[in-house]
Amino acid sequence: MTICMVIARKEIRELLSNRNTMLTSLGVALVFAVIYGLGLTEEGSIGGVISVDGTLFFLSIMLGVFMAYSLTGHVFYKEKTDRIIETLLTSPATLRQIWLGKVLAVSAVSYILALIAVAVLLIITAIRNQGIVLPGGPVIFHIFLVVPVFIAAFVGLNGVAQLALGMKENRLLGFIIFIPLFAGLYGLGFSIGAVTTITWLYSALVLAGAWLLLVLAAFIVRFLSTERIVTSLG
Amino acid sequence: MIEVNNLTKKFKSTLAVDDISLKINEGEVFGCLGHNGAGKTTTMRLILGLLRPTSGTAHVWGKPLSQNPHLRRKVGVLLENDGLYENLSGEDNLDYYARLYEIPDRKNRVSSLLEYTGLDSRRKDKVGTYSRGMRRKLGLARSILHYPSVLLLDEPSAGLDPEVQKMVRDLILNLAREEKILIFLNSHDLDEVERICDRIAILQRGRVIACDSIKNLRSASSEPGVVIVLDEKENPDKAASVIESFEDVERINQTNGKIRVVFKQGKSPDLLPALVNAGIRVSEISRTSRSLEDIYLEIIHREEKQK
Ligand SMILES: Nc1ncnc2c1ncn2[C@@H]1O[C@H](COP(=O)(O)OP(=O)(O)OP(=O)(O)O)[C@@H](O)[C@H]1O
Ligand SMILES: [Mg+2]
Repeated sequence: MTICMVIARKEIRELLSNRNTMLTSLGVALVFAVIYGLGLTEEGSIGGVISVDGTLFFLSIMLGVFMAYSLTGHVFYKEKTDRIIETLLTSPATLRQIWLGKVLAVSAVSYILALIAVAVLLIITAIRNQGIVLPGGPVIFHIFLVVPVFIAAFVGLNGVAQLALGMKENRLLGFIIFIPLFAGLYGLGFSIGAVTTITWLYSALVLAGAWLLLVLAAFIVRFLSTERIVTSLG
Repeated sequence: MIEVNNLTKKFKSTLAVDDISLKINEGEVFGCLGHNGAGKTTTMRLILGLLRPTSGTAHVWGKPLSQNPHLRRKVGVLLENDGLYENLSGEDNLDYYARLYEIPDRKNRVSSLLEYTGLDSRRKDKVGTYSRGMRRKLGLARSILHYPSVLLLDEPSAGLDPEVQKMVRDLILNLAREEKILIFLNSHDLDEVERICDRIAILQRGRVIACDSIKNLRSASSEPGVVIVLDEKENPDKAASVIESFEDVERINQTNGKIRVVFKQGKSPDLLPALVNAGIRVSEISRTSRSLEDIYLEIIHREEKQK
């Protein structure tokens, strides 16, 4: 097992063993899945069948990022406030490996939570429609190939920031990210989602954006230094 | 091998480490002493490559650790923080580090260290439920998990009970003597340092103000001599006149039945036969030996005065 995978494995185990955090996250995922599921109206329906495309498109990505937002702190910043990162940095693991291992762990758990929400939403619509409604091709592509990349890019950038910043700046950053995220989850996903038709172009655009952010994150992590982390411990 | 040359570290306005040079060889137990804020932890972080020097170099086996992950494989570290995850069990903590260092026969190594530190019965409990001393012990086990050749310990026995302190001391001595591991430790516990360190450096405001073996520091700083305790009924003045007749005696001073004799540099006259011949009953005679604490305080104060 490579060092990255050793780190990712441990982070996932630690996240899963943190029952409070996991239950809260799962709760939030379910609540949004239910709100979205019950909120679907006839407006976006095609031929009498409610379309889940727009809703799923937004729910999967917004919820995935929201989960990633709430889990990143447990995996990146907490190790700084606990001052454990210092010891970790004296191990054979390089800064880049530590970062990548953590990104993989947070992304995997967040993505699974987003998939659970997607599944719940599909079940709710199936019940309401008295029959299974499957999303279209672009949305399936989006859920399985775009959303994980987007989540990883977000975690990557947020993770670098948390490693580089001190306690006060981190709180401020968290607050700044939260507002548009929550607004997006409610506004974009809930209101706009239901009436938007998702085309291949949309999915391709989001995928391009996700890759761009991921490359940006991988680039920025070069400028992160051990000294920067050690002198900004909580 | 650790080699530090003209190492300096400045934090904004604070000069934390000021032009330090040290060389420590394998098998040596090296202690770093100094008041709070003297720069001990900063020096250790610089050696570990956690901080970048403002100037100078800190090398282990001739290279900076920061750019050589493969060299870090052979370095064990216990900082002020134990480096343990509260949400994981003691066993899982060690297992994680064992995987990071790619230790062969991981399970056995982890088990034997848990047994060695007496934490075996709590191996499945989360570290968050451990006491301060238990964590320190587990941290120490973590630091030697991968059979390091160089071990850096920042106040290893801070907060430990006497029994565990002894365990830590024995462990350190064993590693240094049997396995020829280089041990660099920061400590405030002068008693511990005196028992285990071959050489020490005393830091003050980021500078090394003394660096030598304890034996050399002792002979350089203290005056050689003996303390004589007389029988209760004995007349001290009579004894004093016998002692003063010796040419090699620099001076004496007596306080309630005890006579402190200071010899001339390099001399060591045998006083006892003369005292016995004069019919003086001596109940105890011993070399004046000053504790490391006395030496440490003397060096620090001497330096203060020169400022
Ligand atoms: N990250 C930092 N930023 C600014 N100043 C620092 C930083 N780290 C250490 N210092 C300063 O450097 C000096 C040396 O600190 P250091 O922690 O090395 O002392 P120490 O000898 O380990 O003390 P102690 O015995 O209390 O552990 C202190 O004045 C401290 O305030
Ligand atoms: Mg210190």
